[in-house]
Amino acid sequence: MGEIIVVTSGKGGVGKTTTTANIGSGLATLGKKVVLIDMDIGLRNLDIILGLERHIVYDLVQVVEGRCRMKQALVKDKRLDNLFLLAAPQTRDKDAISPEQMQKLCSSLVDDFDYILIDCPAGIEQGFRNAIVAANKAIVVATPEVNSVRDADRVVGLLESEDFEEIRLVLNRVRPDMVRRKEMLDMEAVTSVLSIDVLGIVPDDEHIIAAGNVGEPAISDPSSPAGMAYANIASRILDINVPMLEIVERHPTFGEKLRNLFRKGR
Amino acid sequence: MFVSKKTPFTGSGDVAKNRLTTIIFQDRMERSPEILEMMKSEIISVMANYMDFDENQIELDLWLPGGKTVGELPSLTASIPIRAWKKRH
Repeated sequence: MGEIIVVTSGKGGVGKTTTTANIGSGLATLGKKVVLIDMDIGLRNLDIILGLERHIVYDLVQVVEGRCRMKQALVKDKRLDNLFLLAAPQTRDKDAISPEQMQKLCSSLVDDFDYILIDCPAGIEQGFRNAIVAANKAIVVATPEVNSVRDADRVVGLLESEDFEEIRLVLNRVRPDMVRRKEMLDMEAVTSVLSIDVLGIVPDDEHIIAAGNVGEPAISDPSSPAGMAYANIASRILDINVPMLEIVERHPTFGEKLRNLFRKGR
Repeated sequence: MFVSKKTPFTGSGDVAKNRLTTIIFQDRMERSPEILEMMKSEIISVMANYMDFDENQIELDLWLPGGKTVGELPSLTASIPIRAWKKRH
């Protein structure tokens, strides 16, 4: 029986989809059979991050409505043979699927996969309800900003009231230089407020944008600090003990130093 | 030119920490206002072991810091007029 994990945040734009794609790829790289379900119905994105947008013929609502078989709707990843995507429809809305249907959909996958990762839409309305209904574990993504942590706290409260077995935090887009200058919330401040276990800390990383440009998760790029953090997170999900990535500040190049000098002068 | 200047955002991480603590406190209280009542009844039951007081005169006050204050945390003050000690310790 596979594990069903929902990736959620409350607030939009904090990196849920990126986190889903990278952790899924990480688990598949570690030999697990993984399916990623995009529950952001009407605003699908996961296919883009994985570079699979041109491979999608059927979506999860068509599976639910019996218009295609599950096998037809599962899109195999370009790089990893044991990673699959079940896409969201782009032209429907959040009511196109009911919680009962979602439950049934996941039940039909749970015997064939080691991990089912669900990419949750932003917000805490019906789309969120549908995305969490079948899961018993959650990864809450937050960035070190007051509004993001506040929304994460709200979501953790909702997940707790649904009796989730495990709720863990991924703190995304951490800027070590800003933390050092005390211009950003640090891990300790966030965890003391949220009081949930930390699954990982992901540094802010330009590679994420570049990876999105070409449709390959950053985890496939060994030079990406965020990719490395996601690989560690995948290991931790498999209970492999990896020390929290010490986020190392990148030293500026000579050109950047020069630019900074001029910037300060102004 | 080389001296880094103090900007309005210097140390803003600490401001963020304070605001976050207050906001989360406020949110949780709003979501479950019964917590305050539950705390009150638990405080009463503990204090009742040691002293006599009128339950109706107990006041719990919640104070939330505002603005860009650093170091000020949400606080709870209880005012409990005591009639007498119950036992000698």
